[in-house]
Amino acid sequence: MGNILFRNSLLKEMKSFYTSNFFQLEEVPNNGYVKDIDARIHETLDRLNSTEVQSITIPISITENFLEFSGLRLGHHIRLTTSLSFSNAPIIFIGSLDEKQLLQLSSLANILLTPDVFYVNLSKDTFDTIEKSVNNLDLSKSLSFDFNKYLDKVIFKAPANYQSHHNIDNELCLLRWSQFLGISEQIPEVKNKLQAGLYFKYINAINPIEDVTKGNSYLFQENSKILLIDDQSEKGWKPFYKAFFNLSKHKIKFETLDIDFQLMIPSEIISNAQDKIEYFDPDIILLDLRLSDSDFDLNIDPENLTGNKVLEKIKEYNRGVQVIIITASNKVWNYEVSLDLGCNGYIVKNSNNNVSEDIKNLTSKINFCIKRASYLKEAYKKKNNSLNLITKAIESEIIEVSFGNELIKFIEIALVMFERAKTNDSFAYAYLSLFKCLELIVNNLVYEEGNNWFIGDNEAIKQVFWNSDLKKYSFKEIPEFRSNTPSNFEKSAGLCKQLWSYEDEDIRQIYFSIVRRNKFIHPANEKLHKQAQLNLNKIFDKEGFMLLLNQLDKMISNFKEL
Amino acid sequence: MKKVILIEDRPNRQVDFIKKINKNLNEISILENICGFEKFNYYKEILSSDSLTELEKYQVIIVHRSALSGSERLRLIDFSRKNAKTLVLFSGGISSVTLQKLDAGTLLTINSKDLYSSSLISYLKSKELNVLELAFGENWKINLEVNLLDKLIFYMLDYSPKPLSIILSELKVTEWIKENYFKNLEGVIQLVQLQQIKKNLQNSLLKSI
Repeated sequence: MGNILFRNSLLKEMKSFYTSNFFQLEEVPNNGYVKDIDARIHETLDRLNSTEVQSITIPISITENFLEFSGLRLGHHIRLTTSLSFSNAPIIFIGSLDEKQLLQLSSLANILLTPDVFYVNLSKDTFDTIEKSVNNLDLSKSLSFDFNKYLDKVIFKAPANYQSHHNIDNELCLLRWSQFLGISEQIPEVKNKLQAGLYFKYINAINPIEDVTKGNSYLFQENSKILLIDDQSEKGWKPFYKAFFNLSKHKIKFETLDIDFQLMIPSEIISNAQDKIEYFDPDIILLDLRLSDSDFDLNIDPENLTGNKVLEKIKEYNRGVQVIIITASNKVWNYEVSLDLGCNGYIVKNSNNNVSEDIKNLTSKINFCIKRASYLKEAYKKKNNSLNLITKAIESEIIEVSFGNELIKFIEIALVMFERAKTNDSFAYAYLSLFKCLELIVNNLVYEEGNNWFIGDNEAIKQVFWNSDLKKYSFKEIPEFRSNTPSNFEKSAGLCKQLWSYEDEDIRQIYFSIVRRNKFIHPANEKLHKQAQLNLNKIFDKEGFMLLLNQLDKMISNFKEL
Repeated sequence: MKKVILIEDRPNRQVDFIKKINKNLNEISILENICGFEKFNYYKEILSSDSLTELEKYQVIIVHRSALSGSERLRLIDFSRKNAKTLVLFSGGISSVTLQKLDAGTLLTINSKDLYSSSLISYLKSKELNVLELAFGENWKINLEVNLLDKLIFYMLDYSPKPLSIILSELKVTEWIKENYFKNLEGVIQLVQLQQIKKNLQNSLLKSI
């Protein structure tokens, strides 16, 4: 069993400070001055890992300057590198100040208050004292070393960074998530940098990554297009998500906004994001809120965060595109602003979270958004198209302003209800709201004069009926409207067949849409045929709404024919 | 005359810093502030090239570490070693400050937040360009005192009287230490005098910590 003494430059300079061969002399080399102290210590410990160690003696600083406290840092590395064969071994620190002074100068000195750590003042007898003490140490004690007592006494702050602790949290979270998914090899730069870091070792010690069986739980349920807008994407998040989405059997087309965020002002970032969104037309956007250096100003209004500005543009483009905010900030007021702007989910990248829960949460949020984008994007595309057509029809004086504006309002209300719908009833209410648009259209475009009903340019409406002999919709020679008033279907069918020459199947679908509404308001007493019931039940999910929305969009596109 | 060159590829970071301290770095006479855009690109080309002679006129070179590739960093370190320059590499990813000798030169690696602080302004305003102040802020004297105290403890173990000049050389005493602890000494120094210096150091450290 060896007794390691880490030498600093002073101990190396003192040629014959100690003649006994009690100590195995070691040092942390400079390694060409390129690597920082954590990486150098990590490599040194890695090299010594197979050594059998009885004790370790370390000066307060193993580098050139006392105030670097690199010896104390080395001690913490030994304790926190749990894979190290001697992580529990007794540590003896040596120095010329007293413990109280050290504790005042650096929080790293808290290690002096932890079990199996000793402090010896530098004197001519220092090394003799250590040798005698170590020989008298009850070594069985180290076998019962209580790691939790060490953790209770120490605390590490995230490395100082000019932009708050978010960056380090961001990177630690990336590494922990990647390790959990078994894809950390795909982010070697981040992995190597962080695994050696003392803060990362501490975070892993207080919040260990659990081993889990990897498998189907990470699969996504449908194909999708996902865009990442994150200024850190080149620092490991891009390969992480690529590998993450590759775990899925469904095809996830993944792209990133590849611009130099650091050299751009917020308006340039927003404009580049807009271009990318229009070009890629994603279903889901994973969006960081802090995309510009100016976003790290502590006094910034959350509404002015570049990420929130991009969110506004996304929702202007297509409100159905699902946006998940991914941020290292856990400031709830930022989330509230994003929520008001229409974001659809929030993932906090926090290195202290339970990784398993984080990944489960990320997967389920993405799955939820994939599902919603699959119909909401189309719904909002149709809505935008319809609204444009209505506006043009108003401007061209094809329809009356009041009718056009009312129609726009009802379409908007219906879409808001549809976006919020999660239950059967809420889908049905959104449907009823949209159905109001159908009623508005037919009641405005089919009008009564005297006792007669007209469509278009004073053309008498014909009565459409299902001709079961010919198995097609036909016109009655003489209309026989009930109470001399065409029903919603008769008005719709009149418009669609007589004026706009719809195919029979399209008219049949409009019929189903109307029946769906009527049977919801006035449920049938008798039991319906299974197929008919299934068709009516579409009112309770997205399908019924989308069918009706498509029918309305087609009708509105025919306004120009009026 | 410009003695210090600061090469920063992220102008927004410096703008944020300037906002906080209300001091324009461009107004500091000894500083050549290369902050982003064309000026940065010009120096980036120099840093990527084989010849760094353009940097010879500066005493101190401060560069954002992440703006350099591994080989560029090594070349710059080698240049600083050979030309007795103080090289400061800063980055948000550096976890703790490290100050190292590079033969005649010096290498300081420091976190961006620690660099962009009031210590930078004091450093740039001081005549001596004391890199310890940039590295350790107001505690820089403690660093020198403890370093000397550690050395003295071993130095006195088998001490035989020596002329002051030899002691100063063997202990690699800095100007500040010489001025504050060896000022009134001359000729051959006895052990008791070193013991007194040790006491003075300890008393000073007791007062300051």
